[in-house]
Amino acid sequence: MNTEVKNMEPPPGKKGKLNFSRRLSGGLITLAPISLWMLAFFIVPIIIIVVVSFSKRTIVGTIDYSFTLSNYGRAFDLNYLKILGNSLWISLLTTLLCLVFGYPFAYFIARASKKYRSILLMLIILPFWTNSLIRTYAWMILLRTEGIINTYLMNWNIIKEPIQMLYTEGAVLVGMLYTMFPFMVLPLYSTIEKLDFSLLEAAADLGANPRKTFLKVTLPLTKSGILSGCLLVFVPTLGLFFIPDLMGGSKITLISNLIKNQFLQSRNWPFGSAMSIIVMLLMFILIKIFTRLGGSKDKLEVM
Amino acid sequence: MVKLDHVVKVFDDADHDQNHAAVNDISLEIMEGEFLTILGPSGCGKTTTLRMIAGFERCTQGYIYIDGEDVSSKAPYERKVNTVFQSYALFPHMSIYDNIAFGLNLKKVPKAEVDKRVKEMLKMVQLEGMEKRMPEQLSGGQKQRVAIARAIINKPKVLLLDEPLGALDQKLRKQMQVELKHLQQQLGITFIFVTHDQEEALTMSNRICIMNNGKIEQVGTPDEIYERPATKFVADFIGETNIFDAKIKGYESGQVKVTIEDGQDVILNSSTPIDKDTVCFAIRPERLKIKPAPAARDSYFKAKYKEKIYIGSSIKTIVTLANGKPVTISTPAGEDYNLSDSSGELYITWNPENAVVIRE
Repeated sequence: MNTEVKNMEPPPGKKGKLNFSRRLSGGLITLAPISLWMLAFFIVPIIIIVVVSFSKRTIVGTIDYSFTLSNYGRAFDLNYLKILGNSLWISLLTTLLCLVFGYPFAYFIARASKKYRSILLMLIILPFWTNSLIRTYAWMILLRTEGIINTYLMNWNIIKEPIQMLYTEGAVLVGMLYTMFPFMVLPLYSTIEKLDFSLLEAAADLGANPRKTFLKVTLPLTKSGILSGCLLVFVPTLGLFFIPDLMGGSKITLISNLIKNQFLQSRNWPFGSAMSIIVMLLMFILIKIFTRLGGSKDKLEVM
Repeated sequence: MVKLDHVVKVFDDADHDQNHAAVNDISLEIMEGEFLTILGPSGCGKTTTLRMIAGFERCTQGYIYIDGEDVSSKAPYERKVNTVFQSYALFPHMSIYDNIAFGLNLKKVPKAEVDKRVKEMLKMVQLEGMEKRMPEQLSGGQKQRVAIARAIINKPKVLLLDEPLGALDQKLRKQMQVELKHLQQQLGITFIFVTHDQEEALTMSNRICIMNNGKIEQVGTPDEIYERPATKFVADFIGETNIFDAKIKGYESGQVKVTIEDGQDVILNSSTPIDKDTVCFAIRPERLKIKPAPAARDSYFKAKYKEKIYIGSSIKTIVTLANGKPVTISTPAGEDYNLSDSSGELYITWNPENAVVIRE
């Protein structure tokens, strides 16, 4: 690294200065589009949300820009904390389920012969070609009380009464798991595929049975994929609102629904903004913990 | 110590050619404490053979015995062998210490003993003080030593080495050859060493097994292999040699009179019975001499001078037969012949014992 920098240093004198300024302007030009984009669609909106979160709501639902902390105070109400806790729990459960089902799946793809590997990967990516909302409706058709699963189970006399499957926490979990599954499999696949399988042979050679080999070699060496997969599933799951909306019904309110409702139904933008900021800070802390677990940031597969 | 009994390996998965026998019916016995090298060109099945002994591949047919026990259907972790991999395969997430201690920790050896033995190993492979480093911080030669230490700390009955010196530079390679040989003598462990480098095989081994196209061509001590190659492939593969195809003309008192390619008659000393009317024989360049007239007991043929190549320690003289076939003669530097294009017809002579009759 050091030598590279040294080599790149321009020779002294006029020519050097020219090169340097040219390089600098080149850098600015190439960075300008993304910088403008981030400014317009990321930094400015965040500033607006922060400002709104410290403002008051007028009776008619507009924003009164006078400073208050009451929105944040309200967020620590026990009911809202319960919703936040429940959301974290659902996200954690979704992440764990994705990992438990996704790891063997990713391992299987990575070890499949090259002929079938691209087909298997395709099968993972294929559902993305359909809108996720439509796929969620498909799940609803399957799980409804008069839905396909219940109808067949009753026709075959396996059950007498339809089972309540839709509008339960289980349904939300199924929907989340289904939607987020590829985000777990893809980073896992890319780390497992890079794993040098001669290391597994070496472990076996030194007397490790398959279980020990997995725990001592495979798992530590694919840790970065596991962490980035978990991050890619956990964070968006916390923000997905249409799945709990559609599949959880009115019984299950998660933090994402709560925030959505503040903006679209209750017309309480300040409180919605405050909740958003709290969730953002929470995620920031969690990501920090995750990256700390992964050793260093640059070792993570998708970051 | 290790016995292969009619072992066959056919790869049938999608990544390999269908029905291609990588190892085709080989039988081999390796003695206790022996340094056996499996030598052959790439793709000859030598690594597959080693991987079958280690247990990474199952044999399609045949049996493998280690220390008298049939291990053909046992997993690698159930076999009392350890492997030094071509790529070293050190665990990148573990320190040198943990790499070396890996096998002992799995066997739940008490910490104090693990510590003592790891220290011993580090001393033996001259890596003292390196235990806290990670594999990526080591040079190729050091990684090699760690790989060896990690394997032999388990006191295996047999150590398998898959081209372990392949990635090292020439000088380090020579040094490691000597060190490995000494290590083997010191430990008394049976070594099975796979290489495509004939010089490595000749300098290190007690016996060499030469493989080609999934079959064993010859098994023997280095000098047997060099002086008495059994097949045309072995004669050609090991060192430099002159191979002649000849027709049998007649037998007289333990000798065979044959006609070589350009029609000259040559006398061969034949101890091996020949059942065909054609025969193939090989003579090493250093066994040939150029003389103005043959001595009474010499075999000889006549040839013309072509060129001289200076090697340093020796000089190669190329002569041609009447049909243009080149023959190489090697002489130590200083004992050089004073020849030129005008030297006319030369007698190329040899002691009949040094011509080896070989199989196709």
